[in-house]
Amino acid sequence: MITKVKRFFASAPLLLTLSACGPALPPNTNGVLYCSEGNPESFNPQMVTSATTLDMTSLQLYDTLVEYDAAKGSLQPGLATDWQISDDGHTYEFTLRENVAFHHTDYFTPSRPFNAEDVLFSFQRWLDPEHPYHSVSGGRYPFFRATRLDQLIASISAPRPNVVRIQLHQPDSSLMSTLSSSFAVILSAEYGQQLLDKGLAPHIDQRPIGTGPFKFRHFRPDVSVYYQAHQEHWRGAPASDSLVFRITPSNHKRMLMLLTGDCDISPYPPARDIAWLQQRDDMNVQQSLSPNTAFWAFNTEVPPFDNPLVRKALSHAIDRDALIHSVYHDHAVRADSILPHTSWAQLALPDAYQYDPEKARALLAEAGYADGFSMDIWALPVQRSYNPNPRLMAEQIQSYLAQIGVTANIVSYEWRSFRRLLAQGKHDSVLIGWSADHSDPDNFFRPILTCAAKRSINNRALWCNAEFDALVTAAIRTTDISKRQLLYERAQKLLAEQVPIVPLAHSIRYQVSRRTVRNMLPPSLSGIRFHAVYSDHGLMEEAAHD
Amino acid sequence: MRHDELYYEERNPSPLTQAWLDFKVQPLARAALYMLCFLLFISLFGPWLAPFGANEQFADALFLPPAWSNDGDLRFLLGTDTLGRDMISRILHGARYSFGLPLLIVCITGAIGITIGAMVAMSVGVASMSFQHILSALLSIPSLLLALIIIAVIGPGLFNAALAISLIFIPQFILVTRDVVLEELSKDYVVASRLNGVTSTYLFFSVILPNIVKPLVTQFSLALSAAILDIAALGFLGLGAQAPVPEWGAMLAVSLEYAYNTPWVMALPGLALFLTLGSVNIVGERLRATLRARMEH
Amino acid sequence: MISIVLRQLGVFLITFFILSVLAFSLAYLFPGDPISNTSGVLMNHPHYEAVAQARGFDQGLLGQYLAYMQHLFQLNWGVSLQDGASIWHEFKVRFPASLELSVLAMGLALLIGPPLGILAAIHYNKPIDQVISFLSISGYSIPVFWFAQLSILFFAVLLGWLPIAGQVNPLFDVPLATGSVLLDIAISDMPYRGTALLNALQHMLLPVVILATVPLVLLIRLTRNACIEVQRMSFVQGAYARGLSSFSVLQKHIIPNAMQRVTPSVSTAFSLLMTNTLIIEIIFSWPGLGQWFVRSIYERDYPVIQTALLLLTVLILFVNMMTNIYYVWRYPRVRRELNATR
Repeated sequence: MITKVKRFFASAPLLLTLSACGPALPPNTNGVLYCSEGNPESFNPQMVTSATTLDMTSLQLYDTLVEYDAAKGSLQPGLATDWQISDDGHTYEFTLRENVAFHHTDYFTPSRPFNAEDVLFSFQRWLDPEHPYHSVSGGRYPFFRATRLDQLIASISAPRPNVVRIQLHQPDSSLMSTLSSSFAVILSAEYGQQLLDKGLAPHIDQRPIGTGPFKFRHFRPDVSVYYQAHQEHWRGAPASDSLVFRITPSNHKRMLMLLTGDCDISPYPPARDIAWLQQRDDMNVQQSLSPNTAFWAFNTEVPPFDNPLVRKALSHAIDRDALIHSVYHDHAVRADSILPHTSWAQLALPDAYQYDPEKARALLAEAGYADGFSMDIWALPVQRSYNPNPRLMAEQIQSYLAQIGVTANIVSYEWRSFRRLLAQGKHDSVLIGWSADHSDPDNFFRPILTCAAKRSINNRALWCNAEFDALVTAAIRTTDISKRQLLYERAQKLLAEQVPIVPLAHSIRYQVSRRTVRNMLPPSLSGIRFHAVYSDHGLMEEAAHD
Repeated sequence: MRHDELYYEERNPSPLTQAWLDFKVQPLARAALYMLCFLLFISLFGPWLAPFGANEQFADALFLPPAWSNDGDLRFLLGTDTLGRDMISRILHGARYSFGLPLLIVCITGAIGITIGAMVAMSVGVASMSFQHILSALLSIPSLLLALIIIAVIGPGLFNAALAISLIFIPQFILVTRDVVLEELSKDYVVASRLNGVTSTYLFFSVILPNIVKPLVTQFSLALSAAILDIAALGFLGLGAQAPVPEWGAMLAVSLEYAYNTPWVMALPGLALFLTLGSVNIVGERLRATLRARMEH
Repeated sequence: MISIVLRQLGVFLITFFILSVLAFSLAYLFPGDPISNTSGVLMNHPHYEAVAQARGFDQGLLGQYLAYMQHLFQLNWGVSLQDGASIWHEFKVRFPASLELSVLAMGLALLIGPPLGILAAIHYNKPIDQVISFLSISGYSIPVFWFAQLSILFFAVLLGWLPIAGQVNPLFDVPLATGSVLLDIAISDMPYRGTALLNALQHMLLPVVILATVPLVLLIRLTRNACIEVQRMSFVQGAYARGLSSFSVLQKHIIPNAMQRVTPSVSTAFSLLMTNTLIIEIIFSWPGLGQWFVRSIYERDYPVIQTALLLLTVLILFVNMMTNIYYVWRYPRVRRELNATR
């Protein structure tokens, strides 16, 4: 052993002198290095909220029953090959895929393929407070709580080993979107039982087992997460043999590592570098519209904002295109509805929010405020994916309002007090936004603009309109797409008339990869899929010899 | 220098004259000395020399390279940073944080430390040797590490960084002064003066002090060099001066974010630090050599 | 000799005691609850009461200090406030990583520093000496964080020769055993060990060379000055007068005597190196003690600060002590002087 080690070290200086240029790589590898912004909170997406963790775990380690195809805008089969919805919309029945293999690792050997028991196990974990795993690792399931899925599902059962039946309390057409989200993953019931027998229950979230294209190998906090290809994946073996997430919180460090090849892919490049990166021929910049909306919400309970004419006047007072240029450096698109245009239900109403100071002044006069008034604008104290610089935006809105005779004060508190005071409704108006949890348009209406949302504090306009509530509730009770579309269009028109909020922008998410990376798709709501992605290192060497 | 004296007479120039004569013949040392004078000057008057304010932003001139390159602008000789702030102005404003502040720290801690050290040595006499051993062992821990600990307790910030460094330098000065004074106290000439019945104030200032200038100057120059480096390192780590302050270490840390496509933003504060430290070290070394040569004669 | 070793050991133990009292008192100096600050267990944790009891918080300060020391020696160092990870487990893999960097850098400095210093001294005031002296004062004055960044931009970004982050390309899948990447590769049974080792060495090259700079130039200057001083001494002049060749004078008289003056400064060089390790590990994302310590200051992870501080300072004092012991062991004259005066 010792001599082996000695001989081994003796050869090192020789090797070092042999290759003077370019870092040495393992031969024949096509593994992919992804620079991630932080450590994963957990390896179980059911328990997390951060997009970083979701990108690193969900689509890599696990599968969901159904998948959302952003390009086609429709649902695709995942672990469920087929599904039936009863006529009253109360019962959903899923037929499961056969011969889906779980990961085989050094800590778990599956004895059977995936079946209905695993679905039941995974769903009961967050659904049933009596489930042995319910309170393991903190026992909080923020996504299922936020979407009220735990309130919606009455029961879940397996009439046959390959069929799962979900019974709802009331019809809800957003269920399928919720199930396609990357939070609704399927764990292994057999692994869960084994851990329970050994008394190691928390391991289920730290040494994960799933059916996804990659299997867990090791995780070193602050350094990297290493995944190996799951060769028996039901879609076929993934294109790369390994997938590594290198944990690099610093923005510029990720860029440097991308430039030197220490990373193949990096999310969220700095906005100012995007033009520069796009010019480089060794980099590939991809973008997609984030499913989020920044908006300006008025507190409709306090005068003068209880008057729709005032709200309308203010909506015409600001130039949103200019805001997008200065605040977002053009890395956003103007929002003409609360829904981004990538949603099938969107109805763009640019005229309703157009910049027109004359009209704004006329509306103010009509409302009885010809001489203007004084108001507060609350600006978020933190950066958000939908708003990179709320303070700057507030300052610009302030100067627009001055032109129509309205004096605005900018208000900001430390983040936690800000949220608390906001929840108490102490604001006149606030610059805030919303990021979607899943692909259904319902996610942009019921959680933030209904009377129920007003009680759950997410309704920043404190707006309660019976007609609007009726429209969006009717839309969720039917599964007929054309009927839903009609209802949502009417809801958006109502928003444009009443203007509880002024939609401002949908931000754009960027991702850079080296040219050597193949089959990389733009980032999407559901995360990044690495199944077909691989790194072509031969290409890099050719480039180096040019 | 007159060489026409009839009889050979040993001339013994004062330490300052000697040092100046030495600097005159060493071009590098002279340049370093001029550099230090210049730094002192801009630490005092930098804000009036600077063409613009330290945080004055020019929205039409973001990321400008230095004036001599094609995209440069004559208004901004060494270019601008990401927010369109003039680099020269920031460097000039920053000198008082990166050079003036450490100099002030070392002067104050030096005055305090030498006074206490002398008093301890003169009054207590020869204290136990092991106490000194332990103290010097503790002080062999580098000052940056100790400063990090103090900052961990009192929190980051430029003032706290300065405070932390001061707290570390005072005992160092005390220890050095105490050591050398004790050493001198046992020498014959001091004993002779004592027998003459001088007061201890006179004994220290007129008898001992001229003979311990060398170790004190050594300690002073080492401390200055360490203070400059520590203030900059803490600023770089984000634990000293905070973002808009044009302290060179903090500027360097911010500039790293753009270093891959605009290297000049990074080059300037680093170069300023390098030149400052270099000058302090060269002058310090030269002074030590001069004083050593003087002692040997 | 034994009495000197014992005296050194005594000084080390007393300084260790002082540092441990300091580290212990940090629990009270940090804002917040001293029990959480020292153990990492938060007040709402079910084990909180048990931890408080085990750490003697129902007793006076002395009992608490003794419990702290007991926990320290049982390697029961508490958990991080940030992620609840065991501090001992984290330390176990981070310490060898730091040690690997600093030992290699120190080795490099010891290997080429003294010869360059001697070279400069032989050519005293000649161009070679001036070049070496100039380079050494530059190397001593260049801020290490700037130097590191310049090297990254030049060697990694511009030339693309060297990687800039971590210990080894993670695609090699080196199993984590000791924390020192070279050892981990050597004891693993992975394929392509040679390439992996090469990759690890490439990762190491920049940080080691940059870290070595400060101790290197320090050693160069000290060796040069010591050689020049020794050269002027009468016994060297006498050796020349006896007709010895300049090489043998150098080898037999100057170098050994000069080295005697340089040896005690090795520990100074090491402590400067450790300071720079803190910064270098952050710049090169090296998973060592320095990165851990500085991040714990950002995150106010008090149990980690408390422990990392004690370990780093004790390491420096330990090296200091070992250097001193080596010094008196290697140079009997020093030993006699020490014994005579005290």
